[in-house]
Amino acid sequence: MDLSIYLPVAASSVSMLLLLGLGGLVGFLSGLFGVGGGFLMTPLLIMIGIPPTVAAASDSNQIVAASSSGVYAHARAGSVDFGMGFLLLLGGIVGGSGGVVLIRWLRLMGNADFVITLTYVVMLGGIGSYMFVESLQSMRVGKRSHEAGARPSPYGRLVQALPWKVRFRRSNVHLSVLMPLTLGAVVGALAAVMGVGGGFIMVPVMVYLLRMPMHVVVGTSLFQILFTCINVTVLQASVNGTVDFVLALFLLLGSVVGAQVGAVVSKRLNADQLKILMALIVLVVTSKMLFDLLLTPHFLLTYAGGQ
Amino acid sequence: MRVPPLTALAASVAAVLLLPGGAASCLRQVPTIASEPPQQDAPVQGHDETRARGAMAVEPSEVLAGMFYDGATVHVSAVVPRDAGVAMLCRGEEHPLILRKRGRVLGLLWMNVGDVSFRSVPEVYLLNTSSPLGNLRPAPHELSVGFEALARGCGSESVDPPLFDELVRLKQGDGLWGTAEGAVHVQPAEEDMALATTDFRLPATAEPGVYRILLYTFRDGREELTGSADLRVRRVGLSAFIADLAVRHGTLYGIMAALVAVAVGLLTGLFFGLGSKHGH
Repeated sequence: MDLSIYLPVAASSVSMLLLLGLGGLVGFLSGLFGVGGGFLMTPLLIMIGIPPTVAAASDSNQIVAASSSGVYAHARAGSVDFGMGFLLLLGGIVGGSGGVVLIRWLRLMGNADFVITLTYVVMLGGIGSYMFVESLQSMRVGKRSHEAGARPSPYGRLVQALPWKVRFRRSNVHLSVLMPLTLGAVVGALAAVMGVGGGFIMVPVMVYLLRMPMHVVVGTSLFQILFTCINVTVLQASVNGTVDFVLALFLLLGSVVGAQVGAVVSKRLNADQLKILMALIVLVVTSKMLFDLLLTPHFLLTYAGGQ
Repeated sequence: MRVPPLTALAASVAAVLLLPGGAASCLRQVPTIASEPPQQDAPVQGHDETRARGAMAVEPSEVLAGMFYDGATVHVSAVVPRDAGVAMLCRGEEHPLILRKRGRVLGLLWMNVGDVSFRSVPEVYLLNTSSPLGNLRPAPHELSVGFEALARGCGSESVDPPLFDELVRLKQGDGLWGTAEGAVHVQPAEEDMALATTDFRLPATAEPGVYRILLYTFRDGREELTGSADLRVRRVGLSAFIADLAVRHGTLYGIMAALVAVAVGLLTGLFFGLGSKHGH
């Protein structure tokens, strides 16, 4: 028995079990890796016939629930760096506004979609491959404490030279507040330009550039995603009227449970295992995007407002 | 030791991501020709009026979209001359439509290469006929029904015929446009008249609004619009309430949606937290 529910804003009828299942899967990934999961959910919703604009907006409503469930679980385990998260968020808001201006400028230049898509694929592919190789190497080397990484690279020296240093206790790093603010702004701008949530860029930035421990990265990333998605949900509802609450409700009932399970599994795996799993998923997403770019599409016309 | 869950997870995600388009169409509702008899007790406001205008009946004349609405089957019957060809058309409201055009960049990569705008496109265009369109007279290019006729009406400065065919394919994929030749059944009745009946399967994706049911007859090489009736689709109950709130009080609706999401998330966290506290 497959009971269908009518989605009043999307004007579409979808199986409730399918929505709960999709929510559960994406929530699990969210709790496990600290990503929103929009990269997976939005295309899946479009595939089952939800209009693209409604799919993206309702997904951010769903992410609010999954990430608050995840943040709660991670905060209990002491793996959320609220200070760092707040600074990243602040930077993200400024960067996001900048990104909106940037994309308008890119569109005026023409062929913006080409530049954006290619940058996205190259960047995801690069991040995925780097994470994969790096975590594979450190798994092979064993527990030879690569976190100590004592070589003072030019990047390391630059970081040390920055003023206004603060100790972030949870992350166990001593950094200038300019670091999270700037990186938050850069990720925020990229996310706005590419029309994605940014979790996939933010997590590697926290791991490799802010040098935070992986478990704190997951919780802190979710904290930041929570507030970003609250903002997106309210804006989408008030400006575009594209949030379907019935759709979001069924997705989030699945995803809050998935996020809890993900958070538990996240604690059981070590940092390298988490990184290599995430690297694999990033690489799968990149391959899927490459296939979409190379294969002749089924339809030569599409409804506006997709990814 | 941790390898099996790792590969299993990656494989399942890969499977979901790489689902071909065919799987998507399986998930969509498949329009079916309903065999249920017309509901005699259905509300048929405007019934007498439509009879007077074109001797046709639409049952139900109003489709109600509640929380479990899954599309509707609309039964149409009309009295027509016995020797006439019959076409019945269910036509939705017309709006301008802007679509993204996909094309090859650098001869290699498929991506959006611009917009295509259609001046006026019906939401729904379901055409049922008593015989193949090619057998009806006048010839298809003179008919006022069918995709060929529709292409003339949807016009746009920048649309060439292949793009209109793409629009037809897209809409057919959604079940919103379609032609069903032979789906109008004509049964001889008294004198030289006949009873023409057909069923339209209106998918749930057909937006609430007013639809026109049009009756065309074809005789002696001439086409004639012999009847028309309205079919209203409207949301009721909770789905009407939610859609109304989303349109009229968008900000309030957005804040409530976000608050409910946070509350459900925290409650679930609390619930699982209590569980694990007892567990350890």
